[in-house]
Amino acid sequence: MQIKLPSKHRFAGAKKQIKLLYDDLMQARKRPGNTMEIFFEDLVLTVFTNGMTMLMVLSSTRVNLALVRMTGKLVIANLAKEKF
Amino acid sequence: MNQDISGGLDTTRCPEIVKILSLGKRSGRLSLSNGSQSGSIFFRDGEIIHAQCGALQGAKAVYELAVWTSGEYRFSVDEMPDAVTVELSVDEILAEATNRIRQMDRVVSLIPSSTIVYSFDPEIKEKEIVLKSIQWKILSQIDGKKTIADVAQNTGLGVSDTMKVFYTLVKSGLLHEAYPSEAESPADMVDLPETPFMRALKDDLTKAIGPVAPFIIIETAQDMGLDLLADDLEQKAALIETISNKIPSETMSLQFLDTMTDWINTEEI
Repeated sequence: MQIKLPSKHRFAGAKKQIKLLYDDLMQARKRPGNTMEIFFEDLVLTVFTNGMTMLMVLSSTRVNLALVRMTGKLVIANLAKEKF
Repeated sequence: MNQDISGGLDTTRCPEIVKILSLGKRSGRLSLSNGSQSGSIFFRDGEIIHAQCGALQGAKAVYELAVWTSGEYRFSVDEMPDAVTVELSVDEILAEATNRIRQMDRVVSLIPSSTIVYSFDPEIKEKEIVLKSIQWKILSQIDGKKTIADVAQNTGLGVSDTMKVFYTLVKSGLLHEAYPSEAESPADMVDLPETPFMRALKDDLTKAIGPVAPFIIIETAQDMGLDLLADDLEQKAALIETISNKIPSETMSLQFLDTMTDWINTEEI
């Protein structure tokens, strides 16, 4: 399923924040799948970056975050067509 | 001065021969042999244009040959190479070679031969040891059986460079000379719990970083305060993820993560 939000949808305002987050993280990038976890009380946003791609996973803090990081690293590496 | 020359490296070391050939503006091939290895340096009008020693080529090969203290050499007039791999002047090469000889003299005082076998020291005294990737590369080859020369061949490094890395590892207390009774591998020296998870973790990590894997598992678990016997998915995932960050090669790290994620998905979820 794919949903394309209209530019006037209230979520569209997040674009600027997401872009800022990407710019911040790219400076600290060392390996594909470099991760950052941002905690919002009971939610956690796990962010993976690799080149032009950023993967964000929003989850409850009760999930196995190590497993989220492991899977995310593999996904971002595959998305960026890393050969391994 | 057109005749071939030959002699022993115990009386005249490679840099001295290079200097003589350079001053005489000679062209040809200087072949050296130390019994177990051989190499060549090619000259054109007194300048070094190509060198080879095992897998090494160019200036690195000259530096390797420069530290030999025994063996024989022979200069054959007008033999020319197929390739040109050296761009540096003879003076530049000799300056670096002299530097390396000085370093090797210090190394040889601790490690007298490349035929010595080293194994892990199970009683590491340092609280924290930071390793360079080249040290990791060498450590991953340590199994209590391979000689320094074997390790040099497997890693593609020169014997002298490999000996220098061994020197740093022995100095930091990570390795000690193996005795004949220590033929067992490091993996046998460390007691990991016999669980399916530990077996999978050890096997996959060994593929990534070699026989040092059990040490890394135990050290990481201790640092994280984890119980290796605990049947806890969260702990297992955290251990896998932390260990994957310690694998120097990005490719191997991702391969390890991939295999262990598959294992967890199959066995635990």
